[in-house]
Formats: sequence, structure tokens, C-alpha cells
Amino acid sequence: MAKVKRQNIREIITKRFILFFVVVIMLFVILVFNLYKIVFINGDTLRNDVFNTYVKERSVDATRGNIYSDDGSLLATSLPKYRLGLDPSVYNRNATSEQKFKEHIDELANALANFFQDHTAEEYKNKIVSAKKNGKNYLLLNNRLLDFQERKKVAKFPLFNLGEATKTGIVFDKVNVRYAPFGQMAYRTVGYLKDKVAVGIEGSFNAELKGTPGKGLFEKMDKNTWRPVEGGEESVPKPGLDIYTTLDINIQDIVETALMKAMTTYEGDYGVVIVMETATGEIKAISNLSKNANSLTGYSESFNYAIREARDPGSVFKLPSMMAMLEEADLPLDMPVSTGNGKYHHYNGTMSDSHPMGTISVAQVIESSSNVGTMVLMKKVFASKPAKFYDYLKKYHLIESLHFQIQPNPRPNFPVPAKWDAFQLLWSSVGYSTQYSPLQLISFYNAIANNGYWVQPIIVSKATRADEVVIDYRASQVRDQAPLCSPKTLAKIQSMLEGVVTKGTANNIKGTSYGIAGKTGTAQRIINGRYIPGKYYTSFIGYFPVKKPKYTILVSIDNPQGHAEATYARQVTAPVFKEISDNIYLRDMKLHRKLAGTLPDSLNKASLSHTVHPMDQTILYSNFGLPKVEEDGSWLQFKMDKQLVQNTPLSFPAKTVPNVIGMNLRDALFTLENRGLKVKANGLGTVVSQSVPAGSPTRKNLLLQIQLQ
Amino acid sequence: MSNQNQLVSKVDWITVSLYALFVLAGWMNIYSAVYNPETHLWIFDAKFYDSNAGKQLIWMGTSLILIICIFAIDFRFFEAFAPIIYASFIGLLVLVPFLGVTINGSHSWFKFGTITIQPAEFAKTATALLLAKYINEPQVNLSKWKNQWIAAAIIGLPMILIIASNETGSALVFASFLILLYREGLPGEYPGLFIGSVTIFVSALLLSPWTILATLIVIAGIIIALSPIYVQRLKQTYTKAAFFIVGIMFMVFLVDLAVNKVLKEHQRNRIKVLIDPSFDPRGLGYQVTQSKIAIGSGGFWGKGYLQGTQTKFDFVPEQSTDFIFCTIGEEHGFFGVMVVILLFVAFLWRLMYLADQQRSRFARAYGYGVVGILFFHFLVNIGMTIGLMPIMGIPLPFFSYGGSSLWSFTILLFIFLKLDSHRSDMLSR
Repeated sequence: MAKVKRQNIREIITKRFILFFVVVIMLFVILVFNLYKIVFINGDTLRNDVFNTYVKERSVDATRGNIYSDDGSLLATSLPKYRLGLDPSVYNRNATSEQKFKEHIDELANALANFFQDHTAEEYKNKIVSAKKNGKNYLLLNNRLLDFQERKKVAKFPLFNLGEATKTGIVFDKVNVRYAPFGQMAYRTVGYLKDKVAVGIEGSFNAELKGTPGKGLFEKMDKNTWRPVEGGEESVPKPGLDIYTTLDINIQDIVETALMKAMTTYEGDYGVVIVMETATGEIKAISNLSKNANSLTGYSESFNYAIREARDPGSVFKLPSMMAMLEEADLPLDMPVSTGNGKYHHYNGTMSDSHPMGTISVAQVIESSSNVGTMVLMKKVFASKPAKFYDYLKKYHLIESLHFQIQPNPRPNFPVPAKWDAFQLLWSSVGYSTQYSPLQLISFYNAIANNGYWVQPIIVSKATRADEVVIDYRASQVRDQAPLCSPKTLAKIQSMLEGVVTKGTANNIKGTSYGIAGKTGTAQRIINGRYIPGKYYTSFIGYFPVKKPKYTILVSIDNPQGHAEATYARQVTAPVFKEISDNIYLRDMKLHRKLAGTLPDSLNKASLSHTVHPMDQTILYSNFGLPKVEEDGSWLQFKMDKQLVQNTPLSFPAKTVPNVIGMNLRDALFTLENRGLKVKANGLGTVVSQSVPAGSPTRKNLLLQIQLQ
Repeated sequence: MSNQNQLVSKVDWITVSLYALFVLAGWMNIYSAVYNPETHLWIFDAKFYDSNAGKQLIWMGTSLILIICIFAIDFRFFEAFAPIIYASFIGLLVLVPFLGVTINGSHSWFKFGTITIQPAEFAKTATALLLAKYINEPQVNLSKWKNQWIAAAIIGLPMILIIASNETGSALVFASFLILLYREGLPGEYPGLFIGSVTIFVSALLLSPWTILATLIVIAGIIIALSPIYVQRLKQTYTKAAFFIVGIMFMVFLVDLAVNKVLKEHQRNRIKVLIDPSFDPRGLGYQVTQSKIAIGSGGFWGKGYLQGTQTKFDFVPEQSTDFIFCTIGEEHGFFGVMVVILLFVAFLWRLMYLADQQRSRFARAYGYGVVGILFFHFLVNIGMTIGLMPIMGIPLPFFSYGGSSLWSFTILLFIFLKLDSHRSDMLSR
């Protein structure tokens, strides 16, 4: 009996041994089967999945090129900014770092809370502690972008200051931010890229500016955060080209000041000024102001009217008509033209002069801007061969597109002769039934100033990488080898334009030492296809100095209405021209006496204290022949005293009004607007006073006035 | 001298060789996991000992000393002192919440200078010893309630203390003592119940308690309906079944409560991710997915030693500790992984075989304890790296980096080998 039972136990035990081992084997078989699945069945899919989910080859943006003015001042640049993150897992590595973390986390949370001022220290602490607990290896601490100074400051926070970045877990992700040192200056022309909208030079030269993106492996850290995998960069991005514009910051400043003044005085709908260097066709300044209720001044740059807005040009178009007639018929300037009662009837249409002029000379047709006179002559010269007029216009580059560098710039709206109606020849001769953009008109006037030689307007002179010119746009600029007209015609045309200022419609701006020549234009506005009396599009296009023209300027203001008597070009746009030409002339006189240099004006006055933006320090140092100092992004205050240049780094405490005295306008604007202050600036030069003293607390939209001298 | 020779001849060299093979292979993989082609250091460089591979080398050296010590001690010591060893580790586990430090979110470590020790690792050995000693008592019969309760208490006490120090994974290892108990006469219902409750537990994470209950009742109903055909004593069976259903109902709601109230969010998520990979609030499936990638990308033959890229780029967290298996998978491929698994099975078979050879019930029970613990670790660790098990901080014995882990497994194993070497000295019972 006992024996049997004993055997039973042994049997049971053996059974259990086998059963257990079978279970062991079965479980291991399941393991092996799953391994097989992973390796041979899901291997490829798995790899792809993860690469798509967590690791991706992403393009690494190249550093975008800078946009410079003609003297090398920065119009747009990319500044490195940093996004602060933390790899909290480093504090899980060993007991020492664990200990460090425990000791300093509160101080760190306090420092972060004080710095960013958006969450409490408690919230920061909780965020970090829970990320650490969950073994995360990336935590975005704050979405705000830090500049280099702030980055330096943050790196000194408790816990972060205890060793190298890999041990402290601090992560700075670099982000390039586009920044225009001059703010609103030439804003629309320099342009911008916003989402999918690309305008101005930024848009038209995007291909050159953007460079070639590189490729790199990125690891997903968070919903929207990708961090480069160390050592994973596959191809290095090639930085974009720098674009040198022909814009002259000083002239641009003069132009914007003058136009703004005129716009606020005459309350036009929009205003355009273009300044072109006569000999080269280079655009030195371009300004477009249109009504904007949100702007402090009531106007802002929002559309490039200079290039894109084609309008009935009005009287300024009498000049190409006159040039064509003089060429075709060699009319003497003193030949009498009868304008009768100042009305010209043609079929069912009537064109009138501003007042009846009776019999006038050919010269006076332009000088007094007689519509009737122009049309009488036009009928006489071209009525039998209207297509000939079209050919002249074609020769004058007034039919085809300018192929200007900023896109889009369509061709003028002037129909081919086959499509002309009964009015086209006569009406277009005085600037109606046809549409031109300001840029198209100024390029014609510029040819007159340039001894009859037409040059294509350009705004970008070259694209460079480092100091090497990669693309020279001047080389491909179209320059006519032959003048538009005979020297005889040119002399007549030029004398007429001088006459406009000395004795004609713009005699209110005569008497300058250098002399101005130009033509007024007051076109009636068309609303719904009908000419509306009392609403005008006023222009003045001319050049100076009259003997040896250096600049051609166009001023157009649409629908001036601020002053009851001042709705004609004579009162509105001609004075703006004069203000601009006066200022440019004065500045050029000064320039002639100065050494040629690439420094901004404001930096050349010796023994004055200046505060200089980091970007300009390099220029400054090279100009003084000094070795380049480390670019760490500090503002430096320079004191120049005979032979000695001293510099002191400046720092502006957060939430206070910074000291901008000694800065030039763009630096002051940048510094102040960056802190959310509204700025009103007066004068030119460097800042000599600010209405709110440095160090006072700031608040959003605080208005600060600065005086420059 | 002759005694020594005798000892040498009586040690099971197959097991020792496998152990040495595992430890060396483990070290090579740790070396690979931390290997950096740019700043690579050789063994003679002092700085090498700052790296995991260097430290592991120190642990290996000290393990050898431990082995010598174990063999120097009288084999009767382990049985005689089992209660004291057990009591002292229970003491340490009690103290750890107060004196311990936190590493990787687990507050279960003691720190002596630069050395950190996790008493939970050693508590397994202590528990195995005491359990074996208890079972060795002649009057103990595991089919009796009283003895079952005492055995459960021996296992449960360290478990509870370990759970208290936030090491749920280590605590679950103690479930492997069921194998020991089963081998020593525990009725088969218990492992069955255990497996059943694990199933219910997991399903409680996914389904509502009512659904589970309904399913269970349907199953029970089918069993009861079919039972008259096979079972003679109907009344008893029905009573049992009634008890069973009430018990299950109670358990389902208890589990539901435990899962939704007691378990922390991250613990719940770890299990949920396992069952439903699409449920992945970043970072949970990440580890496993990266681990799978590492293994999957190895192909059949692997990328070659030190050639793994997934592991080099630190894609897999914890790759020299809990995820060392995926380094093997990536560099040595399916082939390498199969070799390791087959060697493990052989190793377990050998240990079971040795355990069954024991004349002393103490040594045999202890042997099964060792088998159970190692089996649990192998299964869970490998299961973890390929996404079959939730991630719960279970190292791969002998392979994974870590002093506490290597020391505790060495002690666990070599106590058994020491006992085994004296098996002829024991009186058979």
C-alpha cells in the first residue's frame, strides 16, 4: 500500500516536472515565434514605421542671405534666436546628478519663472519633475525665442551652471528669425515672406536668398519639436546669397520723410516716390504710402504702387507725345499753336484745358500743359499715320514690359494700332485711354535726363557669397546704345522741361541753386470707367541738377484732398519733389567733402559717443583697421577720443526702457520696438534725447519720442 | 587537498560554463551598447572604468570573489541561517524607504560611496532559502491550508515591502515561487488560479467589469453544463462552481478597483500599450518600438559586433540594462538571439535536472526556486524587449549591466551549485 502511494507521488512529481518543462518550452516557443515575426515578417515595416514616426530625414534650412543697401547697410538679415529646452533624463543617470537636481531644482524653477514671467516657479518645477520622472529626454521649457544675450544669461541659471551642456541637460535649438534693422523703411520694397505670400525683393529674389537646404536626421521629441540626431547630418545646407540693392538708406529716409509729410498734409489715398540715379538707372529709393487706420501716422507701406499700380498718367504723358512729334515733324519751339477756347471736340468727346490759353507756342504746350495744343499738333503730325506714333512709343520702351527685377511688372496698357478706337491716338497723347505704372514713366524721363540714352531700371546690383560676386545684375541690365531721339529733339525737350519749372505749371518750385526740370501731371480719376472732375491723380516727374542731371525723381499722390486749393500737381507733388531734391543735394554736397567710406553717417562724427549694434561693429572695426572682436551680440557703447576708441558693452534690463541715446535711428527703433514700445522719431543723425528716461518701467504700447541730431 | 579535488570534481561544470559564457557574452554586449567609435577606450585606460562596460568588469571580478566565498562556507550554513538571512533582508527592505536613494524613479537603492545596492534583488535569494527550509520541515504538507498560508506569508512579506518602494516589477518575480511550491506538492488549482487572475487582470484594463463577469459566467455555465458527463460527484462540483463564481465576481471587481484606482496612470499605460499599440501617448511604445527596430533591423546574421546603429545612436533607452537583449538582436541577428534562447533553455533544463537529483528536499526546493526566478526573468525580459510583456524593469540575468543584478544572480545560482556539490553528503529522505 505504502509502496503504491510512494510511486504515486513520484509519478505526480515526474508528471509535474514534465508539465512544467513543457510550459517552459511552450513559452519559449512563443518568444521565438514572436522574434521570428519581428525579424522576418515585420522587420521592414517596423523600421519604416519608426523612421516615419520618430526619426525623419528633414531638410535643414540654409541661412537666408542678407539684403543690403548700396553702402552695405543691412536692410534685412537673419538673426539666430534660441529656443530653450531641457533633457531632464540626464538627472536620472546617477546618484550624484540626482542629488544635484534635488538641490537646485527649486532655484532653477524660480529663475525660469522670473525670467519668462509667464508661469509660476511651482509650475516650472512640476513640469520639469514630471518630465524627468517619465524619462523624457526633451522638454520644451518655453516657446519664447531668446537672443544671444538671453541665452548667455539662461546658461548661468542654477543647475545649468554646473558643467557642460551634455551633463546639465540644457538644450538651445537655433532658429533663424528674419529681422529688418530699419523697420518700416522701404518695407514693401524689401518685402517679406509670410506663409505663402512672398513680396518685394524677399519674394522676387527668394531663390537666391534662400540657399540650398541640407538634409539631416531628426528625432521627434514632442508634438511639434524635432531635434537633430547627433552625428546624423547628411548634407550641410548651403547658405543663401546676399543681395545688394541699389537703395540708398539716406535718400530713402529723405524720401519717406517728405512723402509722409505730404501724405498727412494732403490726405491722399496713396503716394509714390521713386528716386533713380540718372546715369545708372539704379533705384535709390522707393516709397509707397497708403492710408492705414491702424498706423500711428495714418499711412503705411502695404502695396508697391510704384511697380504695380498702372494708372492713366495724364499730362506727364505729353512728353513722349511731344518727343515723337518733334522727331517726326521737326516742329520749331516757337511755332504758334491755336488752342482756341480751350476745348477740343472729337466725335462725341471733348477734352478741355484747365483754362483757355488762346494761341500759344509749341514750347508752351508743354510748359503750360495744354491738352488742346497737344491734340491739335498730334492730329497735324500723326493723323495720317497713327501707327507711327505707336512705333515711337515702342522705341521709347513705353510698350513692352520693363522686365524689372521685382515681380510682377506687366507691360503698359497701350493697345496695338489694329485695336485702336477713334479716340486712342488723340486721347492717349495727353495721357488718357492708357495705363502706366510710375516706374514705367520714370524710366522714360530718366532717358531724357541721361542725354537721351535709356537704361533699364534696376534695384538689385549683385548677389554675393562672402565677398565673391556670384551674380552681377548690372551686367545684364539693358542699356540702349542709341539715344531715343536726335540731339536736336532732346535739346528742345529738355528746354521745355526746364521751362515747366522756370515759367510753366511748376514755377512755384523755381529758384533752386542747382535747377530742376520736370513735368506736372494732373489726371482725372476714373471711377467705373468715367472721368470724375475734382478727383485727381497728381504727378511730378523730373530731374536735377538741371545742367548735369544726377537723379530722376517721380512723385505721385492719388486724390489729394486735404487743402481745397491744392489738388493739382503744381501744389501737391512739385513741392515734394523740391523738398526731396533739396535734401539730396545738400547731402551730396556734404558727401563730397567727406572721405569715402562705408560707415553710416552717424558713425563718422568723431568724439561723440555712439551705441552700435553688433552687426555694425564689424564694419566699424574694419573701418578703423582694428582686429575684429568676438561677436557675442552685445551692444557696445563707443567713445572715440582722438586716437583712442573705447567700448563698453551695454545691457538693458528686462521690462525697462532701454537707453537709446547715441544710437542711430534704425538701432533705436529696433531696440525700442522689440520691447513693444511705440516710437516717434524726429530729426536725423543719432539719438540725443528720449522722452521716457532709460530704466523706467515699460508697458505695452508706451509711446516714446526720440530726438535725433 | 583531496577535499578540494573532490569539490572540483563535484561541481557541475556544465552549469558553471554556461554561467561564464552568459556573463562574458553579456559584458561584450554592454561594451557594444556603450561603445563609441570616436572616443573608444581600452580596458587599461583608467577612464574606461567610468563607462558601464568598465564598471561591469569590476562587478564581474567581485562576483568571482563571491563565488569563492560561497564555496568556502559550509553547505549547511545556508539552511541553518536561512531565517536570519531572510530576516536581515526584510530589515533592509523596511529601511530602504527611509535611508535609500532614488535611481531611475525607483526609491529602492542603498548607497555606499559610489556603490549602489538594491536589496530587492537579494531578497529573492533570501526568500528562496527560507521557503526551501520551511518546505524541508517534515510536517509541512503544501496541500494543507495552514502550510499554504505560511508559505504565502514568506513570499508575500518581501513582495509587499518591494511594492512599497515602487518596484512593482521586482515584486512580480516572487510569483515565480509558485513553480517551487507546485513542484513541492501545492495543488494544481493554485497555478491555474494565478494564470486565470493574470488574464482577468489584463482584461480588466481593457473591458468593463460587467463584460468580464458576463463572459466568465458563460464559461462557467458551459463547464457546469458539460461536467455531469465527466464528473461523478455532482453536488460537490456544483458547490465548488458556486464558490468559484462568487470568488471570481469578487475578484473581477477587486481587480477593476485595483486597476483603475490603485495602479498609477503610467503603470496602466504600460500595460495598455502592450495590448493596444495604437494607444501610445509618446514614450511608452517608443522604447519597445525602438527595441523591436533594433532586433528587426539585425536580420538573420546581424550587423556584426560593434556595428549596431540603432543602439549606438541611443535610440533604445536602458540598452545596457533592461534592453541588452536588443543589442544582441541587432548585432548578432536572429541567429544570435536563437543561440541565447537555446542556451537559456538548456541552462534551465540543466538546473531542473540538477534540482531533481537532490536528495535533500531543501536543496531541491531551493533549486526549483532558482529555476523559477531565472525562468521568470528570461521570459519577462525577452518578452519585454519584443513587446510581449509590459516594461517593468526586469533585467536579463547575467547579461544586463548592473552590480546588484549580477551579484544577486551569482549568489542565487552558486548557493545552489554549492548545495549540489554536496548532494552525496546528504541523507536521502
